[in-house]
Amino acid sequence: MSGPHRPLTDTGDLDTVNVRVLADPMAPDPPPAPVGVPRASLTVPLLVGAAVAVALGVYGRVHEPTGIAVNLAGFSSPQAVKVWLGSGAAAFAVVQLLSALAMWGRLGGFSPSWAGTVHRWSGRVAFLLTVPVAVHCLYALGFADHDLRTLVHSLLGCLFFGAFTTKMLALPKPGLAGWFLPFVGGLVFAILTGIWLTSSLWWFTTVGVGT
Amino acid sequence: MKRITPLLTLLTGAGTAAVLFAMSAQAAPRSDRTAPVAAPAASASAAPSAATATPPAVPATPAEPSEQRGRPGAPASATPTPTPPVRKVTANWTGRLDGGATIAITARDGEAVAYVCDGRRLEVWLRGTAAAGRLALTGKKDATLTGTFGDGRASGELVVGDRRWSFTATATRSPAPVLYRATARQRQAGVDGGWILLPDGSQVGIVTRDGTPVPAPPLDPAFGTTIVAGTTVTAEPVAARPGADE
Repeated sequence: MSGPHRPLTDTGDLDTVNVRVLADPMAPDPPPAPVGVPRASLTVPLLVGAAVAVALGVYGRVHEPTGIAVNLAGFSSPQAVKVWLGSGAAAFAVVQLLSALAMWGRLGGFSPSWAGTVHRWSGRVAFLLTVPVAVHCLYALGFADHDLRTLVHSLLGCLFFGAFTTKMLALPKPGLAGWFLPFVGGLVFAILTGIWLTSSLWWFTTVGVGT
Repeated sequence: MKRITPLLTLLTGAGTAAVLFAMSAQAAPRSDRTAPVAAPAASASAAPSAATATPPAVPATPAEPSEQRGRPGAPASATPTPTPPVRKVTANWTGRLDGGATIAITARDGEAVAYVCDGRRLEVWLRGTAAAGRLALTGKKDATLTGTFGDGRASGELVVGDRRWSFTATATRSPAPVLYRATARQRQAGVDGGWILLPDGSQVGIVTRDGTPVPAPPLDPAFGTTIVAGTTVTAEPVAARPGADE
């Protein structure tokens, strides 16, 4: 990075910045990928995402459920821990939906510059909240199919981490098709909502909120 | 930077999951887990109270190594085999029947509850007394358990109908409950269950749903709960107090 190379590096940075702006979902109406920049290949994100989903399902099925996993203090039962962590994740998922709508200019004129930051950080928090829940599910309970609820819950649980992995891996790729991120994001949101409905809401209605 | 952050998010999640899996592996009961360090430490610290020091590896079946997982911090709680004339015994014993089933006896102030369970379909609850070195308990279907105890051991005979088994059991060093049963509320809801929590951390239990006994999934001792066919079952330590159970 010494003298002669300096101008080159600068223009290189500028180019990168340009590409970023084009691919950035902050842009209200992302134009199609510029000519010359090849469409990003989604093979790897899709394959890895599928592999994650399948691996979780296989692990949950093959691993002998122990009934016990690490406990978080302060809750009345491990199920209550999961219910509240899951509900926290679902709440942040709603923030995700709203901030994404703002980023894409679908909330009327409300499209603040901080929508992207809110979207990124609420997503990280939501994802990290789901991890302990998933670990408890997989380690202590496994992939279950006792009835429709547990089967749907198990399937969606595996799919969620697959879809999330796909989105995370696809996110940095330049020249994504305009519909892709909203589609995967909506998919992740829908799956998480389904997971919440088949677990936490079920818990609240059958066991009660107070416990 | 933006390129890398989604990857960092994924890696953070994977790392968190790995840590939680490792902690879960520590928390979950494992029958094959061994504690080579704990045994000598426990017997050494229990040496002053010579009368109560339980020799390890007493049970009849050699398959069960029965390491007493004595904690160096709490050696004093070893085997309360009281010496006063009025023997209001408070103790827990776990052991084996010659048929292979597991037995746990918990006594409190001379009142005793015993549970025999093979972890598959056979289970017997008995209630009675543990006093003056003698065990005398009865259960449903004319099940009777008679035996003797002392020096950290209990042995005797269980008779159910025309079948009889002999048993030997060792007093546990820790005061932690060895017997759990589904709560009364749980039993009213149609699910009964009994668990023996052995000193080595393993568990034996049976859950009965709609009259059908099945092997019980392990109980989480921190909460007294487990999941049976998708629903939470709550159990509580069995207290050998008159009228507290049954």
